[in-house]
Amino acid sequence: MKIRAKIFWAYLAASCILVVIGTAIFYYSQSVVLLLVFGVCVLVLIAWGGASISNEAMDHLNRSIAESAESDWERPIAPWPHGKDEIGVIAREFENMRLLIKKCRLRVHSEVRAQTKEIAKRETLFEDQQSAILNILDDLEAEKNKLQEEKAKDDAILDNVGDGLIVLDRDARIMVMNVVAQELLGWAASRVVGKQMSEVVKLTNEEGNAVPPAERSFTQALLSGKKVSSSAYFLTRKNKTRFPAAISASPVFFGKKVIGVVNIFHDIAREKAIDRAKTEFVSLASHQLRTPLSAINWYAEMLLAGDVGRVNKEQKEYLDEIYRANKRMVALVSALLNVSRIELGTMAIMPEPTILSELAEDVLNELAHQISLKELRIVKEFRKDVPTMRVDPRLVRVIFQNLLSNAVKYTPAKGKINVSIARKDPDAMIRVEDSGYGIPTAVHPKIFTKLFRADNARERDAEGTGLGLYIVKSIVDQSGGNIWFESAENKGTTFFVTLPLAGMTKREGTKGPEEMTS
Amino acid sequence: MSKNHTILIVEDERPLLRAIKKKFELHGFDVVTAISAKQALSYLKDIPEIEVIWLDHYLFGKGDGIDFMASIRKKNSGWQNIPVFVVSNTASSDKISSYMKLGAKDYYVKADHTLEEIVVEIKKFLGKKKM
Repeated sequence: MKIRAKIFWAYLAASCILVVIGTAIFYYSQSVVLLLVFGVCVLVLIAWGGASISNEAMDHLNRSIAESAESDWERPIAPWPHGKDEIGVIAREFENMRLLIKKCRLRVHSEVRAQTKEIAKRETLFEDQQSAILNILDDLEAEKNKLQEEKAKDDAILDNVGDGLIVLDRDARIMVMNVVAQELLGWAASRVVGKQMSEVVKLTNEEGNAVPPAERSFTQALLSGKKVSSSAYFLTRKNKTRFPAAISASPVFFGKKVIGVVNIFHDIAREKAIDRAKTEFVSLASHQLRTPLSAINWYAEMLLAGDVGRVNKEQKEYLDEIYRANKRMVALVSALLNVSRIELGTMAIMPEPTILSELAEDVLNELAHQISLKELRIVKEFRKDVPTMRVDPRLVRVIFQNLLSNAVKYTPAKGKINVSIARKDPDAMIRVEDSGYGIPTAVHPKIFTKLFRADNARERDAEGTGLGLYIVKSIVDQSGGNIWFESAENKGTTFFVTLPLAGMTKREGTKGPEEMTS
Repeated sequence: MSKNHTILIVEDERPLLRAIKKKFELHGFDVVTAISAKQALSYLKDIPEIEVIWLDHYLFGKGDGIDFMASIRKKNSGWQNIPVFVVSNTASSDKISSYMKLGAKDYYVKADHTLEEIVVEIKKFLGKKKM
């Protein structure tokens, strides 16, 4: 029975009793007040009775919930022993709630565990990553140290290079300037790095005019990808003074691409002064040595010509000896001057369009007298396919003079000399063959040595200088050609000379060769 | 009788100068000699008959043959067109080209030529000029 029904029946019974009591009180006392007091008392009693019944049920429920909470919701909430009334329903609902709470808690626990596990996993990963990063940082530090070491090494090398060095990027901006370059130019590297080379380091020609950037060696090296050198220009210092410089610009490649250029330069003022001194020395020497020889020449010549009176036959013979010996001395001086120019590197090379066969003809004409005296037969074979070449005709003339005069000197009377000039790409080949005394095999290795003369040559011609073939070889070598010979004693000699068809490279500011008059 | 040619010989070596003078005189020249550029310039001013110059490179005193030639080739010097034959023993290509640029008629290396050859060449030149 529900609690409300019980209370209803209890209240009905009590009300009936109280109505009876109240009627009795009113009947006996006739007092409304007493009846009212009675009524109030009855109402208080009724209220108290109802409350006490529901309090017991609530107490039970409270206790049970508290006990379950204390046991961490493990203990069930006890059902209300008085049946299925409202409190019983609440108790069951509480029990259901407890079960739900328990279930939720289990789920929360399991999720927390899973997440904790995940967090732990991530923590490990993070630690791994952290240590990996630390390792990378260590490696970077090591690399950095290595790079710094390399840089220090490079800096030391660059600063101890004797030449000025400027490295440019592909846009011709200064990247590196070594100490020597800074000293030579008067610029501090820190002020110029990143700036355009042509704006910082000006270049001028001999006359002091600025060389346009497009013509400068670094631009040409950047554009052509080839090393470019020059020594014809002057570099300008920060203080606007200038100095002659030998400059070479080498491209820097990354794969096949030019990514910059390394300029190396040094001051050649001293070298130029030395060159001038050398040149002046040879010039003065030639003057000083030849002036007395000229005097002897001319006086002997005039005496022989009878310009100052007749000389008798014996006097004439003696004067002739003086004159010839003097001529020999002149030839020797010319040869020695050529040797010193070659050895000092001051021999000028002034190429101009030249026809080799014309030079050979000229020299043969000079030798015509000796050739006819000895009745030598000259066979010329000048091939027409040999082009006009840009060579220094004076130097090529010296080659012909020596080879042909040797052939004439060392070929006995009625002998034969073949001269040929042919095209043997990429060269022109000169061939001088004689049917002369030949060169003994034993002295072949010495034939181009300075002042050397073979015994059989000295026997036949006492006047040679021993310098002719040395000079010829030096000229041929400096022209990018070759010289060699084939010879055996008494079987004649053949000299071969090749000269590049491309011609000779110009060399200025120095001396040309002396005529070889011997 | 035809008038003699007058030549100015500028040469600092006295022995050479003597032989050259003698040779030219034997060939019928009137000869004026100078050993320095300064002396040569003053003779040019004083002797208007000079029609040809023999010039050495190294000279006595200040200035060499190139300096002398440069001064007579100056505009309005009065001698821009006087023929000059350079006869020197310093046959360097740069010097030869300097003289040729200044208008020298020819360049002889003393040691390579007889006096007779050079005198005859100069005579030939003057003969052609007259014609």
